[in-house]
Amino acid sequence: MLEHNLPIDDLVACHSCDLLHEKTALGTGEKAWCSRCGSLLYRTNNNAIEISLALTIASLLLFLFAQLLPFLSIDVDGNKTTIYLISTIDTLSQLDNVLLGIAGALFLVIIPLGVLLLDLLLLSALYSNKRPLTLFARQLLLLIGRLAPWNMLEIFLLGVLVTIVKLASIAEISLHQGFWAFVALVMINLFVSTTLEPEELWQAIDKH
Amino acid sequence: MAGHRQALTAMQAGLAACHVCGKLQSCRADHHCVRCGSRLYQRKPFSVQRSWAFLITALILYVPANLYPIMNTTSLGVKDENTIIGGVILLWSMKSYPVAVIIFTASIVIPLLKFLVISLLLFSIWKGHSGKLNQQTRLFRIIEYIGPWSMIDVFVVILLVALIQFGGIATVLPGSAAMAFAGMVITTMLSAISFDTRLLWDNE
Ligand SMILES: [Zn+2]
Ligand SMILES: [Zn+2]
Repeated sequence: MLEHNLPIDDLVACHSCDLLHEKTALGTGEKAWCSRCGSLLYRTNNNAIEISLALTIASLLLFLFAQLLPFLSIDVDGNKTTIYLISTIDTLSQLDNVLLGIAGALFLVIIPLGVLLLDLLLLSALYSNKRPLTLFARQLLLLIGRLAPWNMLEIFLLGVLVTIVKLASIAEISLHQGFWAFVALVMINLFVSTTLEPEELWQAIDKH
Repeated sequence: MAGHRQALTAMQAGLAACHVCGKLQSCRADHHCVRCGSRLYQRKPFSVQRSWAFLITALILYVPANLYPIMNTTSLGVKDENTIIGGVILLWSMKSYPVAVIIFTASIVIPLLKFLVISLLLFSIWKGHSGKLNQQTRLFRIIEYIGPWSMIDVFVVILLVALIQFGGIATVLPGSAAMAFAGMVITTMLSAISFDTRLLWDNE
């Protein structure tokens, strides 16, 4: 086994190729890249906890609006039907296809809402600086990391757009507040995921 | 830029970066991460075997996903069964070119690309080829990112089924390919999650 002569805390290992690098201080907005494979090693902390907490609360409201306000309406020969996002799950569950209903409920409601609620708990705990939270916070962050790859709201949005184009040939579609709340929700989600690094949250938990 | 004077990997130095939280630490007797408590490994356990297993399952699911109809439509008493490729051809003939291209890319091209890239990289690990590891790593990161976008067609089916039910235009029911397709996307994602790019570089 080879020995490294620097303290562990001054080192960082590339998550793609495992090469060790010596950490150097970064200016705001700077990133450090792996010298061997070119992957991102780390970037400066954006101090994004406060802003992410605010955006998470906004996202939760937008999620409720998207589900509960009229999403879109279909007009076929003057017969207008208004549709709510939440009722799509209900319709699916009435079909024989139980698995597809479960998949719909998971990807459209349970996972996105779950991640938002877990984010809210974790960020508000870190923000309010309460003492006995470390173990709880660690569990929350682990769970968020597990769920993250399965949160597909932006992909669902593209699915909505494709569906609208497909339906536009047989019916007249108009978009309502629920749809626009959903678009805003996806935008905020994308913004938060590019500013808030899990590493920053781990460091915040470590500091407690 | 972070400097690296001694070109040493964490494994060569007897260290391990936690696969869950990224914390770098020395390998400990109890094999648990000091920061998050997850099992600590230098490389993902059985990475190659698990990647293969999920990938082969996905390949098997890919067959019914393409052969069977993803949607069954009945409008004005006329039954219509649409396979994925049939839907793409229909969209193209109706001159919805952008949507046809989106569905074709998400449902046909991306899964095939994922099968191809992951199996090539797994072969590369097995054969001990080093080759252009930079490109291989970047290729993996790209397919890892675009993989979930294949779910578009499943979401479209879910939405169409629900919306058309309300609109009363026709009856649309999900076909047997819909679940096979969703299963295929999920298993390719699991295959990518099990894959460890560090194994490529260990051959260097
Ligand atoms: Zn690297
Ligand atoms: Zn850890």
